[in-house]
Amino acid sequence: MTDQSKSAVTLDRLAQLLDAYGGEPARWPEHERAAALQLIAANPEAQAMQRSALELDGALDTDVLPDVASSALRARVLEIPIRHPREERAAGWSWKRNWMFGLFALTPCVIGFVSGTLFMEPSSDVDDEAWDELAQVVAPGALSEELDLFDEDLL
Amino acid sequence: MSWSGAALASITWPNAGLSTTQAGAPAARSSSHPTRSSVNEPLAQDDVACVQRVGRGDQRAYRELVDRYLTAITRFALRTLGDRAEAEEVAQETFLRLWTSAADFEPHAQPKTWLYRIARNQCIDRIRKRRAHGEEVELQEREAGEDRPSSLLLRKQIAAQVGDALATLPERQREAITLVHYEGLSGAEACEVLSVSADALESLLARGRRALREQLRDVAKREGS
Repeated sequence: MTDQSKSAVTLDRLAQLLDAYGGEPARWPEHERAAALQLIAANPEAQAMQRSALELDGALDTDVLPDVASSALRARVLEIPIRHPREERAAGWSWKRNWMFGLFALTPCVIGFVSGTLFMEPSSDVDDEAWDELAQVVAPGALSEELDLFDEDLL
Repeated sequence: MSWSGAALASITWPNAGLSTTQAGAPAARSSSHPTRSSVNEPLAQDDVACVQRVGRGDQRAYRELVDRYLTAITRFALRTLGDRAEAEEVAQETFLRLWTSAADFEPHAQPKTWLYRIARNQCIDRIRKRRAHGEEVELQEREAGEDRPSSLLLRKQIAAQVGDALATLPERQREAITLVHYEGLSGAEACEVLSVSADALESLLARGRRALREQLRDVAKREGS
């Protein structure tokens, strides 16, 4: 029995590895490779299994497809940057790329709008009567005292 | 039972033991060589830098990636679709996408698997369109000897039969075998391209290889008789 303390690879597991990845150790998962090789070195049955897998690998290797990328294809692919220039992207605005800048630019505007809306004092030419009517519509009863105080402050 | 027949046994396999990665980077040839991942690691880092430069509009970086991956991507598409013209279109679209979308590339991904995924998605779209149009999905047979050295007739015949056997595999099994066996991707890389778990990948590979073994065993018997 081999020492497989690091990562045990049984004969069954070796069969699975050979079935899936073939007989060439470089294709096997890295973490199981050393243990699988140890098993093969020590076990004639494992060696036979690997030989059989290598035979299929060899047959598959006959079907090579060299030069599939013709020079015409290569030329067309190399023309892509010329046909699709990138100035637009470099010079143009892109929210996706510049959202931080946009956020910084918009923040003061938003703060100004919100604070203006919430804290702006009513203009002095607002008619008191109209103001009271508005207060009644917005907060009938409950806030009337606070609004009265607010009126006093205005005065 | 051993699979090899007399005809196959007589062949000197050009890449016995391991095919090249055929992607520009040589894979490890035996256990005495560095492992595949350690060989490819610096290349992967360089790929990331290249894609980032492409994202900034660097045409030289784009050309480098074309040099590295055009052949592999075209070959992958050809094996998946079985049609050279379509494979070339897929390759062009893949590199167009590289050029237009490199700025959005997430550095935690691998450029190689990213490119394969783009190509694969386009292949899937084309296969779906074929199905929608009621076209035959089976891959076209490649001519025996096309693009191959003519010195060994037997080898050419076997190669054509292997190509035909591959063409009959279900799409995902063929993709898995193409990526791992022919393109030299590691299991983890192939899982990323195919969006499957390691177990699922092993299952696809094992079923595919079993089917090939079965088909090619018959071929060997015919050759021998």
